[in-house]
Amino acid sequence: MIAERLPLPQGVVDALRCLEGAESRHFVAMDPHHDGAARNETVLPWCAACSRAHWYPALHCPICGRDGWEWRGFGREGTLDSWTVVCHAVTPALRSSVPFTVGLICPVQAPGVRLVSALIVRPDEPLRIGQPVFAGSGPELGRGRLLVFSTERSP
Amino acid sequence: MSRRAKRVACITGVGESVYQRRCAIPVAGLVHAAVTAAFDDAGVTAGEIDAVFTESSVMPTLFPTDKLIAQERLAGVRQASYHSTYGPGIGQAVSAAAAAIDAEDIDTALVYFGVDFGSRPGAVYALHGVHPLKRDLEFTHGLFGQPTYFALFARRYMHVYGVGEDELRDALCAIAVRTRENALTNPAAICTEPLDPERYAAAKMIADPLCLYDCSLTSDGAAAIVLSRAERAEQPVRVLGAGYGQSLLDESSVFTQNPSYPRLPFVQASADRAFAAAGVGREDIDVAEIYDCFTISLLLQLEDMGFCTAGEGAAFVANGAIGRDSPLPVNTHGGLLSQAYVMGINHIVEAVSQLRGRAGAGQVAGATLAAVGLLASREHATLILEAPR
Repeated sequence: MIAERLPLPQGVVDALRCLEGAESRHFVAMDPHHDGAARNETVLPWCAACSRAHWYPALHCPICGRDGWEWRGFGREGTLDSWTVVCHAVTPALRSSVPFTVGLICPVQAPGVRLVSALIVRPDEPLRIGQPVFAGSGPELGRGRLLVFSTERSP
Repeated sequence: MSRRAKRVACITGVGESVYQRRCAIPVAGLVHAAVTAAFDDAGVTAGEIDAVFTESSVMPTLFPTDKLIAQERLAGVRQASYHSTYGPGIGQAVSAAAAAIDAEDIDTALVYFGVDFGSRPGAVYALHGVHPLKRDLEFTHGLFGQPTYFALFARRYMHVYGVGEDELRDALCAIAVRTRENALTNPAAICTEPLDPERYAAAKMIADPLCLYDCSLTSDGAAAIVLSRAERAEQPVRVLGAGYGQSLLDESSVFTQNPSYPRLPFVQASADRAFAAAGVGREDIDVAEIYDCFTISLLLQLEDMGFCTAGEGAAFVANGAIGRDSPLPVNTHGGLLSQAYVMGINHIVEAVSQLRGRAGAGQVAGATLAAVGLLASREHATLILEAPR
């Protein structure tokens, strides 16, 4: 399970509590995205007029202005667009979690979208931009289950 | 009459408080010190101020215009306004003041900014903590704090332009070291310890590939700027041109969803507009003060402001292009990296000091034109300033 290998959750929960007004409200309910994560699937808002996915969720399509989204699945495959190894804990709550790797992921089937994801890597595994990564089901955190990418395809 | 000849507005006085990592004086007191110094420098009294201008992200809650007006007894103020965010907002405050003076709406304006991000725990990160999308889609994965955003930019920059990690680190080291050298000539700078490549290489990594010395200070301090008509000052610094650029992405998504990533097209728009308004070229600039929240953000702006081409910045910097004796001395005061993190108002103050020949040991000989670049996540402002004639 990816969740067992993810170093972040408790530290992030504590860090989120440190922020003012930790309750988040969004224009678009993101339940389909989090439900998709439970199935190891990348689920994103889709504009039928533009025929493309958009991320982050917005009040209306940023290209054509159309209101209303469909949610569609875009598989598990992604490519690594950039990453960083976070070494410094910006809040005390993250001290036990560093270092960890965070990536920007482009879903192969949703060009133009970039997802932020904690990245599950093997110890000392070399990374390269453009390499394949795979979506999996992460822990429950914040408003739902996280979609978390790994350099290895999990079952 | 040319557009340039119509520009009568000048910066006629500047003032700064002390800059410290943590200061016992509250922001109100820091602003008071800066305003008092700026009034003395400009030779104006509180009663002569017609208008006050500042940025719109930090000041409205930390020290709003009504508190400033009451504290400084600015009885003649008939215009008070907030402009865009953070550093670009300070730049926009200066250009709005200049435009109001050029239009003869007002005679004398005060621009101010003060901050206590050194003293308030977590304050600098809380800027981004207010965005629900960031909280739910980024923080939950550990993308938290400004170094992580710019680390992603740095990594992507290497890939897009075929710059090796050692090559980029050498360039970022050169920026950090040159900037610290400049700070050591500035008695007002917080950093007083020398920095050399060995110390840079040994520094704690913050968010790979950015280490401690790639990141801005956090600090307390304030500065103020008085603008008026040229004939009212002994050493007026003319606001020759101003530009602003912005992105259609809002602050919650701009770091990750920018289609031009890692480029900052709004920086290019801002610089192009300012240089066109001033009627001068990049090659005419004698000194540049550019927002350096991170070494990589300075490198990207050198490219997007047009001082070198996209992808050339690492070689440009590593070859000594920004040093004090180079054709383009940059951040001669020590910048945000080594002087103080006051969101770029210190960059404007330094440009004015350089153009008046008052920069002390850090003076660039014969500086007559300065460019100031001010960056925030989704917007940018550029000022072109001209020395007294």
